[in-house]
Amino acid sequence: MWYHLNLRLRIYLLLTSLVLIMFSGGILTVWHTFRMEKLFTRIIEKDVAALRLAEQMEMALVNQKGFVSYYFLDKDPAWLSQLGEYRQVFKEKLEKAQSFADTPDQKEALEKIGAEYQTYVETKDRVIAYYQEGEMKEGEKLHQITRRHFFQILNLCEEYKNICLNQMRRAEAQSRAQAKDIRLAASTGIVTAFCLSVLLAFVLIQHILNPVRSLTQETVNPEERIPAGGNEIAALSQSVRGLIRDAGQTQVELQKSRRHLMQSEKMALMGKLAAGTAHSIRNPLTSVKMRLFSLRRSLELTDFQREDFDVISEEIRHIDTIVQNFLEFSRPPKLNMQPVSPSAVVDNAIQLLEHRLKSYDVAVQVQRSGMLPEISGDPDQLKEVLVNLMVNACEAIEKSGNILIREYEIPGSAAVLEITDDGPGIEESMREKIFQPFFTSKDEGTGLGLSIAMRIVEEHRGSLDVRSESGRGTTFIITLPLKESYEHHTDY
Amino acid sequence: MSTILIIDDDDQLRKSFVRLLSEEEYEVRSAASGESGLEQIKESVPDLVILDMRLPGMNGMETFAAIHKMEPRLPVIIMTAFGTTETAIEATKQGAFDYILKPFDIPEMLSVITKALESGRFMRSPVKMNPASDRVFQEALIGRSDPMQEVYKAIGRVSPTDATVLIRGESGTGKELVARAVYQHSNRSTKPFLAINCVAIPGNPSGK
Repeated sequence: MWYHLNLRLRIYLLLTSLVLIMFSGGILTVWHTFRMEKLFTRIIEKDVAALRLAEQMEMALVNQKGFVSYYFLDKDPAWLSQLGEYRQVFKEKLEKAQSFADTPDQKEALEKIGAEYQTYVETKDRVIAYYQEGEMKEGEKLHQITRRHFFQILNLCEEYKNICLNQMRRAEAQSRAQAKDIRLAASTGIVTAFCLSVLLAFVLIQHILNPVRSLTQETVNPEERIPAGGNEIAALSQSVRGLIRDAGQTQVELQKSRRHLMQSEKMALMGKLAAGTAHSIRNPLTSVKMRLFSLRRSLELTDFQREDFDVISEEIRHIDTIVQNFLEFSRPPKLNMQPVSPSAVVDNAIQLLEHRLKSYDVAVQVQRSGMLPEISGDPDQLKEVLVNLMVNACEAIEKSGNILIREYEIPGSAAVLEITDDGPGIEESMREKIFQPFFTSKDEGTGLGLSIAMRIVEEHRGSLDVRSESGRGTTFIITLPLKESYEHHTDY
Repeated sequence: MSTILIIDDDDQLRKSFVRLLSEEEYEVRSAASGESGLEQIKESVPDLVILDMRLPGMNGMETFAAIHKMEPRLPVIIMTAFGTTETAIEATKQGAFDYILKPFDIPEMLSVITKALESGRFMRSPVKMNPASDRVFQEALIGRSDPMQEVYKAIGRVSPTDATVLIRGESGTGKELVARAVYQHSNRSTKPFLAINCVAIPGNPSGK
């Protein structure tokens, strides 16, 4: 049944029970103090007063004793008047006692006292009357009786005192019993409250703190585990913030990878397209080449005609280069990674382009403070990037010009190659587009050179940036991660 | 006259091939699909097959596998308009004579064809070792001397084994003839024979 309740209900139930116990305990205590106060007030105001009155009554009674005898001896009426005073006192006390008496016992006892006293007083009056009339013997006889009455009253007064005392004792016993009950109730309450608190603590720890803790442990990195005594909630909120941050990052990465996916889908589609196109273009090209070969062999050609043939052959080669670029672009190159210094790649590229550079009348200057450290890369592909950039630079430089290749290392992280030409630069509006496939500013370009270069650099986990000012040349910046940092990232 | 079978689905290309190779004095047949190419080979075996990778129906690799199963000694040149390293490696591994990218250089292609035909001839034309016959074959090991007898015996000893054989001799002494004789008498005589000119391979062929 307990386990069918949900957590919130369980906690509410426990808290309510605890509050109820505390509340009822408080009320009981207040009620009890009131009771005690009332009891004490009653005992002090009534029972003690009644007791005192009883004693005063006794006193008054005792005081009445002897006057008649004195009177009998010297016949002085002053004694009788004194007797009258004490009688008055007794009467007052009796009346007062009667006004206090509230139990039947007390009332009965007081009535008895009153009746007995009445008889006593009357008898005594008769004794006095006898003595006044001089009938000493009768008086004496009756006097004896009055004495008996006197002791009777005294006894009754004692009895009354006892009744009062008993009543006080009863009240005390009653309050004691009550106190015992309250004690019992209080102890039960304390025990119950304790049990409920333990249960509440258990529920809180078991169902809130522990899950919160384990949740926290799961969400934070193992290295940043919170200590056992730490604040779970604070840690959780911290890690939740971390999660939110991570989620944001993941979102960004997701978008990035979605873009990548779209890009690669596009690339896959283009791959198919390129393959189909290559087939449809290269078949006729092959055919054309064969026919040209036959023609050329069977004809006697003039120089002009031979030149025509050469141009046709050259153009066929150009078309094929475009197709080749297109294919290469649509099919990401497989990198043949090996340790290589970018400086060696630069030297290779310059060597390869030696004649081309001469024909463009472009001088190349390399600025380096020593061979760059080895990176993990594909020398051929990197060479292609450099050749691409340098040929671009040559074509951009209108007449003669210079290319400056600056090599430097960002210690511990990357090797950087900066290829700067003193050509016309790239207009700002075009700078964004130059890396896009099929964008070209040249009549004969395929628009794929830079995008292929970009992709090769990216395959090396590097970046290819451009910095250019219109009219002041262009700088391409190739940043390639060093071997150590590369290995560090890929966890070889 | 050598017979060459062209299998390509491009009509113009086939016609151009026929024109070009006829000029080179080859007998040229052509087929537009792998299936019809196989039919033609069944009818009469050509000396060389030039096969396009991309074909309708049965593709180039499948066609090649079928040809190779049927005629293991028939050299096949595979052409493709776009090749990946994998297909190139796969094709040569399967026993294709060469793997050529369109649009190829014509003189280069012609030289590959010559080499392929030669290789096919090597595989099929038997090297006679019985010069007793009066009919002297153009390609035969001749000589009855004791040293030559030793050569014949050596050929007989190594042919049925899997041992690697190194044949040494000055040029013109007939090393290739001995090699072909070993091949033809070996357990692998139904498999292709490949002559590799190590001098023509750039770099260090035993390295990398």
